[in-house]
Amino acid sequence: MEEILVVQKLTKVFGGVVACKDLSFCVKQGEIKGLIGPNGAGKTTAFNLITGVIPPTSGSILFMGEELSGMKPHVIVKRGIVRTFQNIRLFQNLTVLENVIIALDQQNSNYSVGASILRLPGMKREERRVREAAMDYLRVMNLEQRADQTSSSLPYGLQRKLEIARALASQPKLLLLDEPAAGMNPEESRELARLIQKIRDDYHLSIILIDHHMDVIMDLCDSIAVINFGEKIAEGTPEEIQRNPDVLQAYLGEGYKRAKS
Amino acid sequence: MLIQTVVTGIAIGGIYALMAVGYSLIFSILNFSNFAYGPIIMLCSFFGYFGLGILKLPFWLVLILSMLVGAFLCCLSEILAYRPLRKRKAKTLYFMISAMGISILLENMVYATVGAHFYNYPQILQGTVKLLAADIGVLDLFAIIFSCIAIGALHFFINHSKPGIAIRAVSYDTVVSQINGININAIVILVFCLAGMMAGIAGMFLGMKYMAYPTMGWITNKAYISAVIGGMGSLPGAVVGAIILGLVESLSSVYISSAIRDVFSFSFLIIMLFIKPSGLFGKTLEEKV
Amino acid sequence: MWNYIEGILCLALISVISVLGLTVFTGFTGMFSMGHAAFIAIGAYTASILTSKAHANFYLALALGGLMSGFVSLIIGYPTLRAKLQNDYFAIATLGFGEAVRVILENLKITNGARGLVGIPARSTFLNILLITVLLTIITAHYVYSKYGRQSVAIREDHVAAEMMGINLFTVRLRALFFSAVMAGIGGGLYAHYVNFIQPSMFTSTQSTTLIAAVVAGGMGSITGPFVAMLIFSALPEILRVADMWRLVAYGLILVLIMVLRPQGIFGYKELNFKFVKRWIKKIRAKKPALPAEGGDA
Repeated sequence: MEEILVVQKLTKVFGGVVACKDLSFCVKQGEIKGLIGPNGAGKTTAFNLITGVIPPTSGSILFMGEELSGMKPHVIVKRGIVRTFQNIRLFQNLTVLENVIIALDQQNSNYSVGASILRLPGMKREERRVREAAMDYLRVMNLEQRADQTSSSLPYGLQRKLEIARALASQPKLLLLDEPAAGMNPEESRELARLIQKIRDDYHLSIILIDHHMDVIMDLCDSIAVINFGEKIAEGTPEEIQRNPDVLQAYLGEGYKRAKS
Repeated sequence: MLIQTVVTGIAIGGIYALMAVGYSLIFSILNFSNFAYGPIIMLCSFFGYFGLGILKLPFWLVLILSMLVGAFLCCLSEILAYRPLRKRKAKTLYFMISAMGISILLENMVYATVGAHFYNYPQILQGTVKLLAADIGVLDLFAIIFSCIAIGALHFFINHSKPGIAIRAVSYDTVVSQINGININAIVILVFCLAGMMAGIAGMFLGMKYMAYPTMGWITNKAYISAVIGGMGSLPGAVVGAIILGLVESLSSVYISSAIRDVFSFSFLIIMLFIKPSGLFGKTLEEKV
Repeated sequence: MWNYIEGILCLALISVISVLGLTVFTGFTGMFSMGHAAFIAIGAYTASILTSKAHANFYLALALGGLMSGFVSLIIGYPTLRAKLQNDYFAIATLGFGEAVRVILENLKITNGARGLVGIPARSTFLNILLITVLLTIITAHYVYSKYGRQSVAIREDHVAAEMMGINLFTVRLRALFFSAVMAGIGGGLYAHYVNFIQPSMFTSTQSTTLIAAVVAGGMGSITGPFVAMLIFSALPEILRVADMWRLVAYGLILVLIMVLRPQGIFGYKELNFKFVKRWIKKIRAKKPALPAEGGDA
C-alpha cells in the first residue's frame, strides 16, 4: 500500500510550551490510523497542524507527495483533507440539510454571482442537483429523516454523525475524525464504528481517528500511533500497542492489560 | 518647536492612554470592545464642567467625584447591558451591539437634553512654563503627570494586590479562575469600577483641553484606536499605543496639515493592523479549535 | 397630504436600499461595519458630481456611484480582511474609516468642502425609487439565497468550521463588503438626487448607527426583517414628529433591549412570508378525514 500522508518531525511550540515534538508518522492509502494518548497529549494539535489551522514551528507534512505546511486551511481542504471537530462545530442555526449543502457547494456547485442574482435556469438546476446529492450524504449517515431540523436541535450523537456527513460532502481523500464517539454509549459507538468502516470502503478513504473508546480504536484501526506530551511513544498494529509496556504505563494502564487477558 | 510638538503629543497621548487603559482593561476580562466607554468619558467631562464651572467646587474634589461618577456609570452599564448576555454566554458580536446601544443612548440623551453647545471649563491650570527652550502648557504637563500617577497606581494595584491578581487570573482563563473560587461577577464589577475611575480622570482633562460637548465621541474613539495599535487587552500596549498615536497626531498636524490629522491617525491604524493584526503587545489572535 | 406621505416613503425606501447592503454584510456574514455612512457618502458625491458637473445620465451616474463605493470598499477591505480582522478590530477600523472619509470630503475641492454640493438635479422620483428598491431587493434575496449567501452564513455561524470546508474567508467577506458598499452607494446617489443638496456632515456615524440598528432589530439572517425595520425606523419618527435626538436615544435603547431580550431580532433567522398561511391550510385539511384524492398513490 502506498503512503498518502507522511508527517515528519512536526513540532509546534506555543510561547514556550511544546505542544507537539518531532512527531512523525504516516498513513497508508485506505488505512484507518488511530491516534491515541492521554488528554492534552497533542492529538488535536496534530490535527490542527495537518489541516493548517495553525502553522507548524518546524517539520513537514507531505500529502500525496505535496508539502502542506504553510498552506491556508481552505486550500488544504481542496487537496482532499477534511476533518471533524472534538467540540462539535456545526452551523447551529441552519438545518441539517443546509449544513451538508454548504460543504458540497465548495466542491461542485458551479454557477457565477451573476447567475445567482439573475436566477438563471442553470443555477436552479445546480441547486436541485446539490440538494439531492446532499440528501444522499444524509442517507449514508441515516439522517435523512432529520433533514429540515435545525442542527442544534439534534441530539448529541446525531450531531457528531452530521459532522461526519458534512465532512464526507467535502469529498475528502483523507478524513480526520476527532473523537467521533465522544459521549456515545457502547451500543452507539459500535454502530458508529461500523459506519466508519463502511464509509472508508464506499468512498475509498484513508482515515485518522482520535478517540478514547479503546474497543472502537482496537477494532477499527489498522495501525495506531500513541502520543504523550507531544511526542510519539509507540506505533504499530493494535496487538503490538496493547503489548507495549510504555503505552500501558502512560495511557492504557495495567488494568487494561488484565481486562484484556 | 519640535520639542513643544513632542510634549504636546505626549500630553495628548497621556490622556488617550488613560482612556485606552480603562478600555483595554475591560477588553482583557470580557473580550469585547466596550463602545459605551466613550460616552461615559463624555459624561464625566460634563460632570467636571458642572462641578468646576457651576458649583465652583475645588478641583480635587471634582476630580474624585468625577471618578466616582465614571465608576458608577460603568458598573451600571455592566449590570444592565452586559450581565444578561454573559449569563447566556452570548457571542462577542452581541456584546458589541449592546455596548453600541448604550453608547448611542447616552450620547444622544446628552444631546437631547443639554444640546449641542460647547462648555468651556473655568480657567485653571493655564499658562506655560519654559522647559528645554520650549513653551510647555501647564495643563499638558499636568496631564502627563496625572496620567503617569493614575496608570502607575493601576499597574501597582493589578500586579501587587490580591484583587488585582484575581483580575489577571480571570483575564487569563475565566473558567479555571471560576473553578478556583473567584467570583467572576465581583471581578467584573471591580474592573468596570477601575475603568470608570480612569474615565473620570480622562473626562476632566479632555474637558479642560478641548471643552465639553456631546459629540466628544470622536476623541474618545482615539482610545479604541490606541488600544488596537498597542494590542487589545494589554495595558502596557494601551499606553504605548496611545503615546504613539498622540505623537503621530501632533507631528502630522504641525508638519503636514491639522485639517486632515484624523486621516493620518486612521491610515496609521490600518497600516498597523495590516502589519501586525494583534497589535504591538497583543495576545495572538489564534483561536482554540 | 399625498406629497407628505410620498416624501416620507421616498426617504424610507432609499434607506432601505442601504440597509439591504448592510444586511448582507452584518446580518448574513456576521461582520460589523460602523462606517457604512461613508459608502453612502461616496456614492452620493460621485453620482452628484457626475450629473451636475459632467451632465451624465442619471442611471449611469447612480451605477457609477455604487461602483465607486464598491471600489473604495475594496481598498479598505483588502488590508483589513486579509489580516483576518474580526469583531472589534474590524469595527474599529471601519469606525476610523467612516471618520476619515468625512474629513477627506470636507477638504477636497471637487466636493466643495464642508459647504457641500448644491443644485443637484432632482432626478429621484417616487416611481424610480420604488422600482430600484424592488429590483435591488430581489437581487439581494437572490444573492443571499444562493451558494454565495450560504457561504456567508457559514462564516457567520462558525468561521473555523467554514474555513475547514474550503471556504475562503477573505474572498467571501470581501465580496459581501463590496456588495454592501455598492448598495449603499446606490442609495446615496438616489438620496442626493432626491434632496438636491449634500454636505459631509449629513453622513455621520449617526447614519451608520441607524443602519445597524435596523439590521439588528429586524433580525440578523433575514432580509425582510431589516427591510420592515428600516421602513418603520425612518417613517415612524417622521409621522410622530419626534426630534432627531430622541429618535437616536430610542435606537440605542432598542439595540440594548434586543440584545438582552431577543438577540435573534424581531424576525429571527426567518423571512416574513406567507408560508404560515399554507401551513395553516394544511393543518385544517389534515384534520379532515384523509381523502383518497389527496393520498396520491394510496
